[in-house]
Formats: sequence, C-alpha cells, structure tokens
Amino acid sequence: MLIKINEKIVLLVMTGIGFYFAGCKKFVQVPPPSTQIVAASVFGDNAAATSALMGIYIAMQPESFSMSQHAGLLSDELTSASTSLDVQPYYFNSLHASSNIFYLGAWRNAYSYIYQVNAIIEGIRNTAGMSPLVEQQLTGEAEFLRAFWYFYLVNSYGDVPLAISTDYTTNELLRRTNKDDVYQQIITDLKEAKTLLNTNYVDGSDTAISQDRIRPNKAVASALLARAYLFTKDYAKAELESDSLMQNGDYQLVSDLNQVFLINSLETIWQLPVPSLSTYSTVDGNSYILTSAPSGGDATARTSTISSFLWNSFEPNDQRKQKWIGSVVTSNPTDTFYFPFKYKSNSLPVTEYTMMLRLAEQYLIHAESLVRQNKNLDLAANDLNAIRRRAGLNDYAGPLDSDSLLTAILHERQTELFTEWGHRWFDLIRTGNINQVMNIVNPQKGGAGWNQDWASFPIPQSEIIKDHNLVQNPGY
Amino acid sequence: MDLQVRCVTKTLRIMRLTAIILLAGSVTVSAHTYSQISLSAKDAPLTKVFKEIQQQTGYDFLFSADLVEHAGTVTLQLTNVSLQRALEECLKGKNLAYEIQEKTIVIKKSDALSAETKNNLPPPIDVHGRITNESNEPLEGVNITVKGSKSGTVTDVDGAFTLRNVDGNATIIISFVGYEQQYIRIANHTALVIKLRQGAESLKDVVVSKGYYDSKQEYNTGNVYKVEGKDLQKQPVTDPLLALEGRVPGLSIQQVSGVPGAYSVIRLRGQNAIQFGKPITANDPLYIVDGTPFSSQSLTNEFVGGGIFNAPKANSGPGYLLGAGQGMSPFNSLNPADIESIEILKDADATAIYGSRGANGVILITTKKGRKGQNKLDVNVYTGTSKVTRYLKLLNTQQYLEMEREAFNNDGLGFLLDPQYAEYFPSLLFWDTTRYTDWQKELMDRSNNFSNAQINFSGGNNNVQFFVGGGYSRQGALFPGNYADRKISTHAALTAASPNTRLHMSLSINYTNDFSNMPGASPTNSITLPPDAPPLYDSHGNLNWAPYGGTATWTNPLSGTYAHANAVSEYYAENLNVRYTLFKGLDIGGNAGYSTQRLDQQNLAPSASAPPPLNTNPMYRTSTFSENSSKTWNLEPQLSYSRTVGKGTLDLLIGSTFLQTVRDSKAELGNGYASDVLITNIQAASVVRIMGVSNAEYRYNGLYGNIRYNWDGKYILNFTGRRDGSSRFGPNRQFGNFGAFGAAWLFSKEKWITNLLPFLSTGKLRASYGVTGNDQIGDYQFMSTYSPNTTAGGIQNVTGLQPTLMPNPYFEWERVRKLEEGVEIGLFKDAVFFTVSHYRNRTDNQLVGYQLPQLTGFGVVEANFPALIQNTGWEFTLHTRNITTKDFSWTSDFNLSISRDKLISFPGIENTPYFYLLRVGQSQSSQLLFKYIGVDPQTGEYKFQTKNESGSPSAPDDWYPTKPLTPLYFAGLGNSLHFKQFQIDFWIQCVNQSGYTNTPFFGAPGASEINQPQEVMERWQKPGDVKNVQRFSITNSTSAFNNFVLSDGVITNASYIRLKNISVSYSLPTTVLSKIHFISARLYVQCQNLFTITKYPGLDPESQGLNLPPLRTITGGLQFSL
Repeated sequence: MLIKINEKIVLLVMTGIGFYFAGCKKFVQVPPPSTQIVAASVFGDNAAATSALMGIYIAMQPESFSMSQHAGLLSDELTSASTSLDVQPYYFNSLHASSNIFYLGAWRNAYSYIYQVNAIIEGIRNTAGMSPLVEQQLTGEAEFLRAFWYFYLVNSYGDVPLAISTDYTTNELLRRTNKDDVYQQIITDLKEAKTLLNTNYVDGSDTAISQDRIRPNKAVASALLARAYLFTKDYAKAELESDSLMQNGDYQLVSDLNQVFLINSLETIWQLPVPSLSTYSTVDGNSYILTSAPSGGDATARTSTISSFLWNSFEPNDQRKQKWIGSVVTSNPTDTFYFPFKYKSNSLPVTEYTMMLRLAEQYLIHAESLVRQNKNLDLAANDLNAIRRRAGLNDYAGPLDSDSLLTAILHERQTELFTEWGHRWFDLIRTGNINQVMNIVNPQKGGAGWNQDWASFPIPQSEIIKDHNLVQNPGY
Repeated sequence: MDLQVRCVTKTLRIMRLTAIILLAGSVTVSAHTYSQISLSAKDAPLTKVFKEIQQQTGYDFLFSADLVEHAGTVTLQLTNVSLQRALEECLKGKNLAYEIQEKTIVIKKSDALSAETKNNLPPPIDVHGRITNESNEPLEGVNITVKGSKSGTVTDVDGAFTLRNVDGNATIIISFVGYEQQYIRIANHTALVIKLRQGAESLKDVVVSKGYYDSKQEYNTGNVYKVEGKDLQKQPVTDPLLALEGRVPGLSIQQVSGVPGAYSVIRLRGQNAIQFGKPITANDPLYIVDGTPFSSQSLTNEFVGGGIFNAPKANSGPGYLLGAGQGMSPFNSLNPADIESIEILKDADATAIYGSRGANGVILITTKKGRKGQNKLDVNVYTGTSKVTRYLKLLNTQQYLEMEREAFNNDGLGFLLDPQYAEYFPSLLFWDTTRYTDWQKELMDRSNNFSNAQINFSGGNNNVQFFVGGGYSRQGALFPGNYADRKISTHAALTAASPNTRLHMSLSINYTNDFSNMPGASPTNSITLPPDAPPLYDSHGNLNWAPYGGTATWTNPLSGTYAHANAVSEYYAENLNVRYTLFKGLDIGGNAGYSTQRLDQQNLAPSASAPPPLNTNPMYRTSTFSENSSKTWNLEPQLSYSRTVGKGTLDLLIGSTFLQTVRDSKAELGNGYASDVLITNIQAASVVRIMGVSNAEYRYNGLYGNIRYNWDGKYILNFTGRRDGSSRFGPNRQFGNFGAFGAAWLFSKEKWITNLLPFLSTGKLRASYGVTGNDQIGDYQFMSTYSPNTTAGGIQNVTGLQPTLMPNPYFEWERVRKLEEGVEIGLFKDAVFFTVSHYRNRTDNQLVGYQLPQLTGFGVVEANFPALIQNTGWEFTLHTRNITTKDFSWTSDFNLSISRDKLISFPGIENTPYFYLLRVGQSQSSQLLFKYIGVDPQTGEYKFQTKNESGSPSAPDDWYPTKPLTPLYFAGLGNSLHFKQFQIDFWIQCVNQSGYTNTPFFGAPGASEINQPQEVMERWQKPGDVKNVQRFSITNSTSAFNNFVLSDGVITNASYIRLKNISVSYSLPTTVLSKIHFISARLYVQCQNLFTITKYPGLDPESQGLNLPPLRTITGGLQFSL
C-alpha cells in the first residue's frame, strides 16, 4: 500500500513537472507593449519610418531659441534679467563644466538627434519593405540632420566625438575627433544628402510635393553646405553653393522686413513649424516677445532683452532696428526694454514657422566668399547692398578693398542675422575677433574678465566622467 | 472480517513497528494536534469506531486485537467533541484505557494505566476548567498536563477542559503557544477559571511563515523575524512600514518626508544591487500580502508627477539621496489595523524559495483572520495631532541684508544696489526692509488632526471562522488649507474546513480607498525666503505678489496651496488558499490571488496660484489628469508530503508559480481654461494633449521544491531549489536556477550539554548558504522599440516616433550568494533569549542601468557587469522577561544591526563610467568628493586638498571617498511594562550615520535671494580671518562654492536617537467589564516621534534637506470588545 502511495506521488509530481515545462517557456515570453512599436516594424513601413524622422523635427524645433539665447547672452547681443542657472552663467561667461546645469549648450540634445538619425540610417539599410523613393528621401534627410547637428557641436565645443553608428559599446569610449575631420564628415553627409534628396519640398508622404518648406530638399543641403565651406575656408566652393541658391528662382529676398519669417516666405530655405498642439506660433516668438518687464528670478523665457551693444551697432535709419526689435515701456518706474521681434506672434494662430536657413545668409556667404578670394569685389558689394537696401539703408559707400568690405559684411551679418541660431557668436570665433570684442563686452556685462578659452563651451563634466577618453577644453 | 477491519489490522502492523521505535525514544504528549470529532454508532465494533476516528483525526491506533475484539460494541452519538472526549466515550465501561503517544493512540487494559494511581492517597478527583486570554476570549487547544505524570488534555472550542482522576494535590502545567506558561496547584479545586497572559512566550515557540511553508522558530534553519500586528497597532501611523522603523534587525527605513502618504526608503541588509541609474525599487525587498505580491513601485504618474510628491524616477547620479523623486508610497494603501503579522525573511534559507525575486529579502504581510470561539465586536477609535519638532536658526532681516550687501560689495558690484535695479534685487531694494517674518513659524509651525476609527466583528466555530472589519482614518497635512489624507478600508477573511478536516479553504479580501488631497507644492520648502519678504496676503486678502511693473517679485509660498494634487488610490486584493488532504501526509493545494492597485490623479494649477502677469493668461490654467494601474494575478499549485523517517520527520514540498502583472498609465494635460472653476473638467480646456501612455506586462514562472528533515528535534536540514523565468530578460536568457541549503543543531537537546549547563533552555546553531536572484529592472529593456511622441502634436499631419531606450538583448540574472551563521541562546526557561546572526551577501553579475555618456544618444543601457558587491553585517537581538509577577511584568527587547557594504571588485572599472561613481574597496554610498581643508585666510575662498599646485581641485584626481551615507549601526530598544490594569510600551530608535549639511540645500550665502542658517555669519570678511564659511559673494566665488558642495565639507554626522513610540494604556478590570457586559475595554495614549536627540544641524537627520520632516504625533483613544 505504501508503495502504491509513492507511485501516486511520483505520478502527480511527474505530471506537474511535465505540465510545467510544456507551459513555462511560452508563458514568460511577452509581446511588446501595446504602446510601443518594435524597431523592425518601424523600418518596414514607409509611414512609420517617416514618423521616426518627423519625431526629430518635432523634438528639435525649440532648439532655435536655446541656441540663439545662449549664444546671444555669451556674446554681445542680449542682456539677461534671469538669475536662473540655466541662463545666468551664459551671460556672465562663467560656464562651469560641473555646474548643476545638466548639459551645457547643445550637447545632450544634439547627440540624441544624432543617435536617432543613425538609427534611421541603419534601420533603412538593414530592413526591407520600404519603397526606394522613400528610403532615399529619408536617408537624405537623416544625413542632412547629422551634418546640421555636427555643425553646431563642432562650433560650440571644438573637437567633438564623432558618433556615426548606434553602437554604444563603440560610442561610449569615443575620443574627440579633430575639428577638420568632423567638418569632413559634415561635408560628406551634405554632399550625399544633396544627391539623395528630392528637388522639391515633399510632405508627410515623402514623395508628394508640398508648399511647406519643412522637409529638406537639395537646396536645403546646398545652403548648409555653403556655410560649411565658408567655415572651413573653402571659399570657392562656398561661393558656388551659395550662388546656386541665389540663382534658384524659388528663393527671393522678401522686401517687407515684417514678412520674412512668415510661413513659406520666399526667403525661406528651411523652416520648422511648431507641432499641432502648440499654444503659440514659434518658441522664439513666445520666449522673446515681451508684454511687460522681463521676468527676473528663475525664469528662462522672456528674460532676455536686446543689449546696448547690439542696439548701438545699427546704422541710423536701419529699418531692422524698428521692425525686428520691439519694445515695452513700463511705468512706475518708467523703463524701456527692447526685445528681438523678428517673430511677431507669441500666440495662436500659427502665422510663422521657426526659421532654420534663409536666403539672406546665402547673400552674405556669397559676398564674403568673393572677398576672401579677393575676386569680383563689385559683385560682393552688390550682394551686400541687396541686404542693405532691404533694410532701408544706403548702398555700401566704403572703400572697395577686401578688408573694408569684409568688415562691412561681418557687420551686416551682426545686424541681419541677430538672435538667429547664434550667428554672431560663431562669427566672432570663426573670424578670431572674439577676444577683441569680449574684452570690452564681458566686464560691462558684469563678468569677471574675459578669458579666450571661453570661446569654447566646456565639455559637460558628467560626460567626461562617463567617457574618460574625453579631454576637457582648456580653461575649465 | 470485513474490509475496514482488515485495513485497521494492516495499519496496526505498520504502526506497531513505528510505535516500538517511538517508545524506545522519548515519549511526549502531543502538544499540537487535536481534532474535533463527530461519531455516530449503533452497536458498532470498537475497531470500526477506531477506524472512523483515525480517518477524522489522522491518529493511528495501536492495540492488541484480542483485547479489543472482546470488548464488545459501542453505541454513541457525538458531535464536535475533542479526541479525548471521544475516546473516553468509546471506552466507557469497557475496562480499557488509552494513552496518546505522538500521533498514536495506544489502547490498554485500564488497570495497566491506573495501577500506580490506585495506591495513591487521597483519592483522585475530576477537575473541570475554562481557559481564556486576557480579553476573556476562550482559548482552544491549550495544553494541560499534570506535573510529574503523562496524563493531560487540551481545551475544546469553548476553552473548557476536564481532567479525570487526578491527584487533588497535583500541579497542572498550562502551556499555549503565544502565552505565558502557568503552573497551578489544583488544591482540591474541581472548577478552575484560568486566564493566560499573552506575549511573554518563548520566542522559539513562535511559528513563522516562510512563504510556502511554516516553521516553528525553534526548528527554523533560516533567519525570519516576526513582528506582531499588535505592535504595529500601538503606533499612530497610516503607512504600516513606518511602524517597523527600528524594530527589525537588518531593516533600515528612512522616512524622507513627513507629508502623509510619502515614500520611504526601505533596505533590508543593505543594497545588493548597484543603485545608480536603476529604478528606485531595484533594492526593494519583495512584498507579499496574503500570498500575492504587492508592488512597491509608486504608481504616481511618471509623465506628470504627483504635485507635492515628485514623479518617481531612477537614481541617476551620486547625489541620489538629495534629489531622487519618489512619488506616493503604495504602502499607504495598506491598513495597519488589518495586519495580523509581518514576517521579514532575510537569509538564503528563507528567501531562496522566492528564487529570482528573493535577492533583497522578502517581507510577508498577513492580514487578520477569524478565530474559533466567541463572536466579538471590536471597536478602536483614536484622535490626536501632529507637529514639526525641530526648527533651524535662520538669519533675521538685519543679518540677511548685511549678508547680501556684503556679497555685492565683495564682488565690486555695489553699483547694482542702485534703486534702478530694484526689480532684480527686490529683497534689498524693493521690499520693506524693516519687515521680519520667521518663515518657519509662519509656514511650518502648525498642527494637524489625525483621527482613526476601526471596527470589526469576528468569530466562528470549528469549521468556519470569519473576520469582517472596516476602518477610517484622516490625517491632516500641515499646510494652510483643508489638506488631508483620508483612508477608508475594509477587510474580510473567511476560513472553512470540511467536517473531516481534509479540505481547508481560506479567503481574504482587502479593499482600501485613499483620497490624498495635497498642495501642488510644499510651502515648507519656502522657509528659505528672505526674512523681509512681503506679507502673504495683500490688503484685500488675496495672495500678495508684491508686483514691480506688473511682474511678481517673489513666489508666494502659499501659491502652492492654491494648486492641488488630488489622488485617489484604490487597492483591492483577494487571495484564496485551498488545501486538500489526499491521504495522510499528502496534501494538494495552492494559492490563487488577484490584486489591483489604482491611482487616479488630478494636478490642478489655477491662475490663482500663478504670479502676475501669468495669472491673466488663460493658458496658465493647467490641469493634468492621470490614470495609473497595476493588476497582478498569481496561481501557485502546491503538493506537500510529510512522513516520519527514522527518528525524524521528512517534509517534501513541490510547487509552481505563475504570475502576471500588467501596468498601465495614461496622463493628459489640459490648459487654456476660461476660468479657474473649469479646470477640473478637461473638456473645458482649449488645448488638450496626451502627456504619455504606457503599458507594460511582466510575466513570471517558477518551479520550486523544498526538502526538510528534522531528526529528533535536534538536527534539522533544509534544502530549497527553484527554477525561475522572467519576461524581463531577452530570448534564451529568461530562466535561471537558484537554491539554498540550511542546517540547524539544537545543542541544548543534547543530554551532556544540559547536564553541563542546566540553566540553558535553548541552544541552537544554524547556518545557511544559497543563491537568489534579482529581476528588479524595467520591463522590455532588451527590446528595441519606438514610442509615439504626441505630447506636442505632429507636423504635417505626421506624429513623431522616438526610440524608447537603448536596447541590449544580452543581459541576464543578477545573482546574490548569501551566507549566514547564527546562534540562538535561551537561558533560565528562555527568560533571557539572545540571538546573533552574521551574514555575508555577495552580488555579482551586477545588472546595472549602465551609465552611458549622453553622446551615445541615451544616458543609460541595461547590462551585466562583473562587479562584486558585498554586504556583511551582524545582527543581535535580546529578549528578556525581567520581572513576571501576578501584578507586574516587564519585558525588554533590544536589537542592534551593524551593516557594511563594499565594492569588492569591479574588473575594468577604469574603462567604465562607474570609475567616477564607485571605488573598489569602498561602500556604494560613499561619495567621491574633494577634501575640504578650510577657508583660505588670504582670499576668503574655500580651499581643497589638491594633487597639483593650482589649488583648484579637479575630478577625479582630487576625489576621495567619504564615509558611507547609509546607516552604519542602527538599534532599537523596546520595553513593555504591565502593572495591574496599566500597560506601558515604548520604543527607542538609534541610528548612526552620516548625511548632508544644510549647505547643498541653501546654496551660496549671498549669491541669491535665499535666507541662510545663522552659522553663515561666521564668514570670512578680511584677509587674515580664519573662518569656516567663505566670503559672501554674488558670482566671484561661485566656483569655490560649487567645489565646496562637491567636497566633504557638506558631509556631517547625522546620527540620532529618537523616542519613536510610546503607548500607555489602561484596561478596565474584569469586575467592571462583566457588569457592563464588555469583553474588554482599554483607554490609551500613543505618541510617535516624541523627541529626537541629535547633533545634526538641519531640520531632521532622517529626512535631511528642506522636506517636511517626520512629525511628532500624539493621540488618545479607546478600544473595546463586545
């Protein structure tokens, strides 16, 4: 009887175990969460892959304000009323690598976009199922975006680590790549993008032509390429690229200064809209336009005003001073505050898109490229005058030598491109004028005296901690 | 002979062998098992009746066939009587007697038993009695033995017993698990009413649950600590875990905020896993409530946060103690009054049966169940108040202004003190500098109400027992306005057994509804406002914003109370346990449970809470709505078998677990409401967006087995094995094997030792070793997925997708190897009971949220690392019965925990980011900081030890590891005094630890408009000054200050001794009770956190920072039973 009992136990246990092993393996395999899509499905589908790319534009559209505010405060464009640690150190040129700002400048966001771009390039390459035209457009845009962000990284930090894959085991130990080699990658990507991208602007379908100048096309790639050649002193090529845009009938300088930043203005080469649920037209408009005295305290938006340096740099009668700079007057006490007013709207409906690239810059690149090559200075003066005339100014009347012209062009860049993507700050660095300017500006802002090392941002200390192959910039 | 009789005879033969073996050894009267028997027989042979009793009780019979066959037949009708009674009835007038030896009933001729007693004088008497507890409730199953004899009995359901034929001068011994043993001389009394006193029983008799099986503490090979519900219920808290503070060796609890419902950090024997970058639950123990896992993860929505309770987020950096968000505590959903006991399972022996989830220990929470006996109604009501007990000494207006002005002048920025800059520096130039407000008094010095009411009804008979109860509690928040945490809970438990006791079922149901209405931000965080800050209200009684040119010059601290964080938490759980005895020794059964945790949140920011000019912008009116839930079911079939083998008992257990948890959350944001009154309805918003939707499924499957062998109560072996699979791991890495081995030797049962040490009542050595795992990581970390990013909307009618995380399909289990040795000593009948345990937990294959530089695109990826972390510690407990007399008793409990953790090795750490977070040979909680050496008397700036000559420290060269910030020693001392109707319990908690000073929470003195502690006035002012606080500065000395915050200058001693709990109660005497027909009645006063002794300079050494510290609560109440 006892033996029988044991048999029963064994039988029961065996049945149990058998049942268990039949069920368990499958039991612990879970489907992906209903709220997420596996990567393989994303890149097997035209629309889903497009969403992955659009996700980058949606995420990066506020960067225009960050970049222009930070660079504007660092240089001589803006004055700050904020005591926020996200803003104040820029104004005093007192960036600290390990300050409590989690990331300094564009670092974290730029590399996040670059990761996403790399994932898209790899996903398209490794997954079948998309139509070739869509693959081509998306790859082109991805390469363009990679170049775009490396451009801002290399200008902000100098040598930067060059991540061109999603493999974190490689990327986490990257060293800083020489600035020239980063530019090489930028130019390679842009050239490749130029061949891949559509001639026209396309819409969300990746193929149908759109009026909106949102999705980069060949011209957009050319515009950034012109800038990259200018910054790498490859003036002949910069001249060619900018010329191609000036000759392109799709783009014209908009004569009314108040209409330059409107949706699909003819001057637009590339614009990004705010996403559909936004409560204002552009982040720039919402953050720069003042309706009362600038906020003090910990705020970041509506705290930056036009500095006296910029205000005083305009020539008399410059219409840009009237139309692109707004003012608010407070009573008790009486005070006037000037603010960037290129974007006119701080609310709905959406009338403006954030300007990423526009034709006026191409005129100035073209002019400067000619001067730098010391050829056809008349033509360069013409380019310059096109911008000046629109601003209501007389034609350039200075001597027609390259030094004088160059000074005039750089000054025109200051007054034309202020608070747009940090042009002034990057021009000061590029031209080597930075020490001369900042030695005057820094003390007047309340800084502790200018140090030429501060032309580069510090690499965030948290990054050096995690990737110890990174070396900090001098001066930090 | 019919079939049944043959069966009995066969059993007889088997039992005879066993009986001979048993008789050869020690024979003890069974103390544990007794059964209720119902018999109905008409002229039935005794063998048939015996067979019936055998089936109903599981007891075997041993008798000579001749003797019984000649005894004739019996006729009887019995319902629910004790075994003894049944046997007596059967054998009445048959000249037969019985004797119970272990689980065998020996039938003999009656003269054989009474031979000795016949010669004794005076003549034996029959004694009847009734045994109750202190609340006059009958106790069933109490063991009564006659001293110096083998006869004895147990009480029935009404607590009644009968002893027949005992010597009138004999002494009877009354013993019952959980009660003090009593010796009573019969002294020829034939009717006795005996009241047993609870609590002072020997610890070794306590039965502890090890989850899938129970063990008497005496025979336990592992480390399980049990806290009785009644000790929790002496403490006025709404979160049951807070009632464990200081009570359990090895369990460290840090209350990070005094806001009701806030999260606490719970660590059992330290941190086994590298914490950085992991979910905050990564080092949490596994919680099981009535057999179903209870998620310790806060449900507070990760996308929108929880107002005053931050959003739960992973620890991402070295300063994690300062900033990690926590969210609301899920434990606030448990009602402390419904808890019967909490068991804390620590070592491998106890936790390996939980396999991959047992790495950080297991905490089993068991809710109350009905008991056999008189039905009774219990009512318990208390009310009281809470207050902050410690304040900081902050600067007054004069000192504050002096500091600010000095800072401007030191930096050569004195020109900024011109009135034209009034809007930038309002505290100096705009506000009324003659004002003085003590913001701590204004914002913190308040008291709130705390009330609690519980009612329950319980009882039952032999087959069915029930418990139904309900509770209500309301704990006000310390803020201006009607803020409170209100909790309503119900609990029901039903236990049923078939008449033959082969089928047992028990069901428990818990439901809690908690409504937490808290401000959007804590006004107490504003105690650092400049002392000349404007009044809270303007002349019209509205919030005062002191506007300058239409713009607020300050954040009114009450603005947070105009915003609301409303949260409704619901917890529903049910658990069914079934056990069926297939045949003697073999039980089949299992456990099935289901629980739902839900949290519905509303965070409302009306324009009334916004400063001008924002308050005129309808877009500012914002409300977020979130729904969060976690649903779990588990199914755990189990088979157990028990039999005697040799001189011991062998227990076998095999079972399986299937578990699924689905978590969902959704958060929406609406803004642009036309009016503040509309913001509770998202339909009235002009813009609505989905802030986030998440869904996660976790599945878990395990097969476990356990073999226990207890040889003669002296040598005990325990093997546990488990094979587990978890859905959190990638394909082919889901399964892992875990197991443990435990052994114990009760050396006090060895004759030669008791001869040598007669005062030794308990002596046990035990040891265990085993492997458990940890899967406390996020779900789907191995999968490469994209998530929609619709918060902002789309572009060109296309919504965005973003990669969810950095995928890694290759990570696998983290393993903890646990070694434990322990000694348990009881002296003088266990009046002194002392235990020591030593443990060593080693965790390798560390599954870390591996920190990546942002340049990889993500800050973190889940991966295994060969790092080895060791947690070692000593735990001591001492329980003494100091005095036990009829009117006065005094018992003490003491526990001490010493814990150390160390990163033993981390091959290749220098090639990982952890090189900058951890040091080999140091504690995980050691901070890597600069060495502060004082203020430079020349420059007035903080100075640090540096390797190079520059004088400015640089990471990592000048870093050195500080003391660990986790407690190094913690202890608890409890005393329980009983004098007649009075009872006093108090508990003192001691913690030895390091923590952060005030500096990191206040920022640089003078640099911004933040008030400072008085100590900053001892600052450097001129060359030659030797001070500990650097020069006041707006910007110039920022860098030195930033380095100071990253130095050991901000680490200080945060040890404390706290009178955690004191409870005084008065019970009405029995004479009064019987008049008013109460079973019991008690008046009491209970206090929590009564006072704290510490040198810590901040608000509170436990919470640190500027959070609302743990509060002092004083309550008074009444409890009675009918």
